[in-house]
Amino acid sequence: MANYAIALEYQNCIDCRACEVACKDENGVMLGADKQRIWVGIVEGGNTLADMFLNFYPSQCNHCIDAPCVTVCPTGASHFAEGGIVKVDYDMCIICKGCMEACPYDARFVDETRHAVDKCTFCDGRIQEFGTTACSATCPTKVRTFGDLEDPESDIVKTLENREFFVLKEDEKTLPKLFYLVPQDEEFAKRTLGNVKRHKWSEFKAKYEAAANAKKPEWKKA
Amino acid sequence: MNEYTQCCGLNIRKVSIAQLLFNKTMLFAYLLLAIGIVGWLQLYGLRFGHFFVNNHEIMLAAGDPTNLSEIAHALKEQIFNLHEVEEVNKAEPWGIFVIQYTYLLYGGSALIFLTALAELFHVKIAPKVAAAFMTFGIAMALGGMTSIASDWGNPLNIYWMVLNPQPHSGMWMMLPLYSVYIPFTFIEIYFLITNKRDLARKLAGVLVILGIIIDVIEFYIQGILFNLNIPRHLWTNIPQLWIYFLVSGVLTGVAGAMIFSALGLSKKDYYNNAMDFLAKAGLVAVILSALYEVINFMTVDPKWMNLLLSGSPISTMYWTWIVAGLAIPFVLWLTKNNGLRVVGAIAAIIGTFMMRQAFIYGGNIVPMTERVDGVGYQANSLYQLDALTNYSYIAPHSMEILVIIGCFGLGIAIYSILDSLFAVRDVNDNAAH
Repeated sequence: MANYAIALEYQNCIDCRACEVACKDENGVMLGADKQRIWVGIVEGGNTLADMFLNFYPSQCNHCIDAPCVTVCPTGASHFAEGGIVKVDYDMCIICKGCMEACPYDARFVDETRHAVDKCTFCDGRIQEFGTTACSATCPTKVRTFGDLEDPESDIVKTLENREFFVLKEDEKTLPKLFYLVPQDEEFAKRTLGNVKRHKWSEFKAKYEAAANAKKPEWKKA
Repeated sequence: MNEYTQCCGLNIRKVSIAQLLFNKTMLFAYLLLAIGIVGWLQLYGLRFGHFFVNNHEIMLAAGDPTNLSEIAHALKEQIFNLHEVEEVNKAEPWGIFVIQYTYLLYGGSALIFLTALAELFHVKIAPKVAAAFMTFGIAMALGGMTSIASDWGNPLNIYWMVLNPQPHSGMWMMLPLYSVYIPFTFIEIYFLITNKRDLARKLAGVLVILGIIIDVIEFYIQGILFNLNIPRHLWTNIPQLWIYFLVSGVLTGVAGAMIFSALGLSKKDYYNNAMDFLAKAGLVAVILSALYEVINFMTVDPKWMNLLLSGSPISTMYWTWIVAGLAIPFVLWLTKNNGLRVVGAIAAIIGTFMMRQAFIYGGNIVPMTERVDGVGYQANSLYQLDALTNYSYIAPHSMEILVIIGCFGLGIAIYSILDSLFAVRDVNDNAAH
């Protein structure tokens, strides 16, 4: 059984936001400035011309292995689907907004056209047909690498095996599945990331596999 | 002299429809309810009558000038005016409805808890006021529940809580809890006002102890409900949150009961005794709440706490809580003057409402735009204060304020009807331990 995730070469991001447009088009997301399943976070720093930097962090739902939004949902509308994808069943959602409070990544919003809380689904219908998400497919600089963490031949596993990465809000212990690749220029990485915890896939793999296996009985078939 | 009819061991007062539905209390409740109805109409109009669009609908409307015009209008609102037209803002999912829920429900439940404790320990005044205070408490709780029901954007799907149980969810646990809690509280009230004295006396001890246990479970589950929200550090850092809810709920409940006593029991010969008891209980609650604030100050993330203390609209709420909810009641409840005690109670009612606001809005102080740990924005971790100028405080819509006024009205109406029918203020006037 697959366990889907995304690795992000965020240094490639040019903030064109084609991914946001593709996502809205693919998934019929309600239009509006604050209504989005994915977004680009902007981080700038430095004090002089020599050390200034501007980083773009494309982001979306982390499809956490231990997703707090699923834990707090009172009706079971938020659930794990096949592939470890965290989804919302719109017909079961009462819009109590508990999941919005529980999500450390602010990945959820109320879609008034659906009368439910909405979120990224890793384009779960699309990946069966095309093997990747709309945001990954449309990116002109190939920021996202979508794939199966349990397939050793997948591009994402090969990428993670060769690069260091970090995850967002690791201390919340949600086991997120967006992996941000550390820039290969060590001096730049140190300057722009500071003391963020860096990881190698060899140390992460066992933990993620064990946690995913423990959760698999909850994964519902699509 | 009142006339009564009997049913199920209860003396039911014979009142005319006019006395039941058009007494002074009910007229006041109607006024508040009418205000609330305007809010509810606006709320459901926005949820189900407002036009929001996605790009699929835009494509469907192509070629039809009328539809296109509507689409253009909706789109303009969504893009340029979203905060005004949408009900739920992403930065602040829980707002004034949840505040009202925690305020009324915790206050009402804590008053029921306190009354049960007073019964258990044979406090002299308890048998006389227990029925009235418990009825007042359950009416507050029902007002709070109406508020949370208004908060749910799509309550029609609530049946999934029954069809698809989620026992790991704090919010789901409310379903079995209230299924037991509300009927049980009514059973407690029944035994307090029944004329089957022998049966009531035999069961009183068991009922009171069960009532206390259920109250404690209720607050414990409320603590879990907030503790499960792991990124909201204000809610997860406060130690034993359920005790904080209970202590601060007692303060609201006592203040409410004081005002209720001043309005409804002032002509009783035990009025002074009731106020003495409430003032003492209130002072204990004030001291425990103040102690809890000190503990919170030491245990909650300092950056979070500093934001509560200064530099945000939430700090105004927080200091109003400290002054009106703790300092003023503490001073005025030390006096023997019932007028001053009521002034203290009014201050506490306002102060504890502000405390609930500081708690709910304060929990949402998570600058979610800082999504990465490290340098730059990241250097300051999650709490960079400079980035918080436009953080998560969004003032409630006017319709939401109208709805919470309506919830107060509903609580008052429920109490008034129960009091008119069962004379909960008078039924135990001659009772004694």
